[in-house]
Amino acid sequence: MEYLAKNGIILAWIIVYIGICLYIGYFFKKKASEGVNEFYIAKREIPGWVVSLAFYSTFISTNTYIGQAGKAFQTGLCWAWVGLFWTVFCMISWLLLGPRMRSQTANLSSVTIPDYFDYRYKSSLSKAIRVLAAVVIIFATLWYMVGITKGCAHLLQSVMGIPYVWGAFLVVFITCAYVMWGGMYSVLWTDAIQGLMMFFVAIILVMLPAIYVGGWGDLMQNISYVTHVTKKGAPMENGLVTFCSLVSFMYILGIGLSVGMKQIAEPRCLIRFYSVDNAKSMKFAMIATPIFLGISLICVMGLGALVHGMTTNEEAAFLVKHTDQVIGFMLDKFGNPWLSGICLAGLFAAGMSSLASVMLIVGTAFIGDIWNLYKPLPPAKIVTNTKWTIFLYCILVFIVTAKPPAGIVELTAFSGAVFASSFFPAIFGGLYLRWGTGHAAFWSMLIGMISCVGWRWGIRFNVAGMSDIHEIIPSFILAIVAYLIIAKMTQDKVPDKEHLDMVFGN
Amino acid sequence: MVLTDDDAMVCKNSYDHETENRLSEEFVLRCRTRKSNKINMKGGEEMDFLTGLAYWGMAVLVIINTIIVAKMKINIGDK
Repeated sequence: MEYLAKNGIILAWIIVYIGICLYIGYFFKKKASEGVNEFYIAKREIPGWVVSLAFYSTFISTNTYIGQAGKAFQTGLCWAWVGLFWTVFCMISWLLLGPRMRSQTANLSSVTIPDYFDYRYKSSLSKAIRVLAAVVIIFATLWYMVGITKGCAHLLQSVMGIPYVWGAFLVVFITCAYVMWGGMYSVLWTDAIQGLMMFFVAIILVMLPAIYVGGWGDLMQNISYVTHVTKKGAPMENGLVTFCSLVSFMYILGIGLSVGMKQIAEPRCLIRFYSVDNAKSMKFAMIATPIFLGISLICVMGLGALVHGMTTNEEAAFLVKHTDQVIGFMLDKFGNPWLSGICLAGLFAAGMSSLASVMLIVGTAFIGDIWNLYKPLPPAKIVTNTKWTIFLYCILVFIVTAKPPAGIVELTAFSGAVFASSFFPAIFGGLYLRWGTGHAAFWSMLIGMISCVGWRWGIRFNVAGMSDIHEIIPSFILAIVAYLIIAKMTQDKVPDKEHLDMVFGN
Repeated sequence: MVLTDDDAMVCKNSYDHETENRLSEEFVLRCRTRKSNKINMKGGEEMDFLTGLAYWGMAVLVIINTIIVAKMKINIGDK
């Protein structure tokens, strides 16, 4: 009873929110089960505002609201530069990739990113590219999902006292339930609702430290010179408001690129373009998505630095080493159950919207792009097997989350780096370069993935002076160069003109 | 008028009536001036230019994007 008296309001908000998500999933259950097109890409019939909010809520997640916002506690207000890079990539994604991707995938009857590579490049390596892309998705998504689940579980722990493992269990399997029921329909519509919640929660979150301290002026005064210490024990002084005095710009650049570039390379974002219903909707989404993203990032990317204004030296000394817990601490210290409930539901929404999207992507990659390729299945069976794959993958995510190997920011940035370096050259080349070849796509993908993993575990933390150079930088450059060189060397493998005319809609 | 870090710390940590009485009139005036400037947030005294640029940059990018897209003719191959 004492627990309910303390957490009753927050619990009520969470239950209402989860109830809505599950209802949406159940509502679309029948429609999503009609076939592969319905379950995988919602039959390309989703309005622009839904796709826009879905893209926004899929891209930013608990990684942003908990991990990145909390990271500013260590790095100061200049962490917002990471958000600036993300906004740039959001624009690039919608301006350069969105319309072409929607058009080409419809021309090719593509329903997943790996099958786009297969149909677009139409070479002797097409099947290999498709399988390799599916393997990259299954491998890189695990770390991403672990990062998101970890963030949500920490939040439940710090605000509601729910044990970490139970929090992780609830987050993973509630999301799994509505994805299995409604497929892409429930993913998109729940994402849209979650996106709206996240947008308003971002605005509420940034106001909490100011309200707590007594106003913006007092808050900025508090953080302009602090007696708190950095992770290494050095005094922060005016570092929170001074550009790159607590973090190197190379590190900001690495996280900014590796996470931001997900928008131009990661299937969970790109698959959104498939579902847009018409050109008018596309135009609306191209304008609205950067607005949603930009405003939210302005609010949350420096939030951790603002929390310094409401912490004692002892609290700061703990939080600077546990930045994933900064936002939970802020909500707890603010101590208003109504606001905490709303924010917690919003943060939950942020995590679940991203989890839902990647769950579907993993299921479609394994069944649609690996199993079905070697042992073709009837459409109804494809949908059923995709659902079970999603469930089994969720069990794996839950097990790894119980003892995660790194913090949220590092986990998600690594998965982003793998996607960006291995997928972007093949996607961009496929959309824009008629002379792109399957061989170039395959080898650039392989080189991107290997160099990314190799840099992180072989060089970055083993060679002096390299720790701030994120794996995204060398691996992305290598993959691009590899694509261009190999494409030029294999011009005899370029698909025939008739095929290219069909792809490019000429 | 330039304040040293020590002055700033005194302003920040010890600005109460007791301390005020002990400080010279001039010093109190300096503290108040500084505090007033901070609250007004004029002239970017709190955040340095490059830090602030990230926040303004995001807002400007969003506006530029809106203008670009509004002038674009979008074709996604639909009928």
